[in-house]
Amino acid sequence: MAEAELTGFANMPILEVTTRSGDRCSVEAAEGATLKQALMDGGVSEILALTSCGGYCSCGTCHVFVDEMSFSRLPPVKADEDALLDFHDSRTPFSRLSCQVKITKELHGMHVTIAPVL
Amino acid sequence: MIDPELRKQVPAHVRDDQIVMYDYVSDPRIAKVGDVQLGMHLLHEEAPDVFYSPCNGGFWVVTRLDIMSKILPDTDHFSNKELVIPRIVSDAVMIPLNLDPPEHLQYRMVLMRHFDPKSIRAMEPFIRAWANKLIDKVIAQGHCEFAEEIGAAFPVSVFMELMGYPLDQFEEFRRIVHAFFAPETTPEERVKVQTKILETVAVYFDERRKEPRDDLVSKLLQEKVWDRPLTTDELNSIGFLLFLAGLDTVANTLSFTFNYLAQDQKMQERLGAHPEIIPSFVEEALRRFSIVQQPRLVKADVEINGAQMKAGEMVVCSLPLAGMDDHRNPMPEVFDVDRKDRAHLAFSVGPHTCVGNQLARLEMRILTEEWVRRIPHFWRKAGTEPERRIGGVAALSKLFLEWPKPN
Ligand code: HEM
Ligand code: FES
Repeated sequence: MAEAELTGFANMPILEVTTRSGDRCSVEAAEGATLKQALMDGGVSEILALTSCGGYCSCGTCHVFVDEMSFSRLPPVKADEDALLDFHDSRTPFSRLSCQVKITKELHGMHVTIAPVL
Repeated sequence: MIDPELRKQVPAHVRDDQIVMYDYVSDPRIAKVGDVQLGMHLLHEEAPDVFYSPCNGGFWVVTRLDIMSKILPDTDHFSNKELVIPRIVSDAVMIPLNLDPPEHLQYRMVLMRHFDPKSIRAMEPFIRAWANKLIDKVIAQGHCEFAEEIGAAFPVSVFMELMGYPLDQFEEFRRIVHAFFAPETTPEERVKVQTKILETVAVYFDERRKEPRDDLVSKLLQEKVWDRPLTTDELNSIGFLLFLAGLDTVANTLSFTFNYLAQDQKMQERLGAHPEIIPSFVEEALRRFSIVQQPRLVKADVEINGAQMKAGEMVVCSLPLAGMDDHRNPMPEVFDVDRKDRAHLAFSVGPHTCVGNQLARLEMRILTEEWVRRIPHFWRKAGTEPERRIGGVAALSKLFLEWPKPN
């Protein structure tokens, strides 16, 4: 069977996710969606904080760690996102706000770890 | 048919079927139903999801949660520069509320650094102490007027301690806040009160500049935007906004909530037996009793659900209508702590999402915990009915509660 059929709809990128409690799962992500949206659609509801700004780079609650390889494929962190990431003691060089990351084909296989709550 | 006189007051690009009378400050629907949020909810039946009201100088109204969730964050088409209905062209700026991107976030961050979950969690002990101090004052008498004695007094006390304002000024502060928001206050008086608030704010920034302490006023003095310290004007503007944003809102949400709780003995018992559900209780209260009607200024022409909004017009996202939206919350009139998939916009959404939302939630949780622990059974005094009013922030006052006097 062709790989396209195995991976389902039109080659949706698949992400490997580790939740806060350490559980692992795969999430099919729609291209063009934000990573945060993809995680929520994929059932990783813990990414949605009660106090979320709704995905507008204004609260910092959607913090995730991305694997090093994938990180290098992402567009750079903008100033606003950088400032919000600074709130997090847990920030690493591979931290992103998931509402600021757009899903593209190249991200297939990306590993995403949900960061601890603030 | 639409009254031709009325039609004349409405801009030509508004269709007849989009015109519905809705008064932003005193809509008759509220009095008719005797419930602010239920009264507004009538609009879900009577009006299109986006309509134009010719009242208060004319403004668009959005009644559905999903449409508000598009408008509130959309800073390309909607501005926060003017947030008063009827529109007043004014250059007064409350930081960060009245700022649009890109400046907005730098200033917002100044506050976020002190209202983050960690800082808020650290406030829990002193907030709990305040809840108890205020309950101590009324518990023995077996009755109180909740809106003033608890609802207003509680957030004012917490705010003063947080800012580092001297607590012997409490009565003065409460008087100022009350005067600013009371409906009988005339615009001239309000300007005077506003000056008074700004003076008060300025005095303490001055004092702490000379002698810093461990309080928010001193910390704000240390804050920077674009690597420079805040100017005196910027500081005063932030101080002023905190005064207005963090006191009346909490007070009124509490009053609406306790007005309901006083009339639901079963819920009182449940909260007493299961205090662990209080966080859900608070969320349901925020949904069922949202109070803010959030305006935006249209800054670029845009079509929303068939409505042609033109630059310079005002649009109101009536946040109580988001909580009461039956498309999103089935049977919205029912207060249901166990509601699945609850949605509300009590704190708005997008870049201006309330900075104080965790503090507000914590204050509500703690007051509810301490109240039901110490006054597990209470009711509204027979023959009394609270007063309700709407506007930018809906209010409930004259809430007389009674409970058995402790022996
Ligand atoms: C239940 C209580 C409260 C409610 C319902 C409430 C509601 C709101 C709403 C709806 C907004 C958004 C305005 C917009 O979209 O333009 C807002 C903004 C804001 N609130 Fe609250 N608020 C509450 C408590 C507080 C508290 C306790 C504080 C702080 C002491 C606070 C500080 C602020 C600030 C600083 C902003 C401006 C944020 C910005 O422009 O980025 N609020 N609030
Ligand atoms: S959801 Fe608020 S910053 Fe991402």
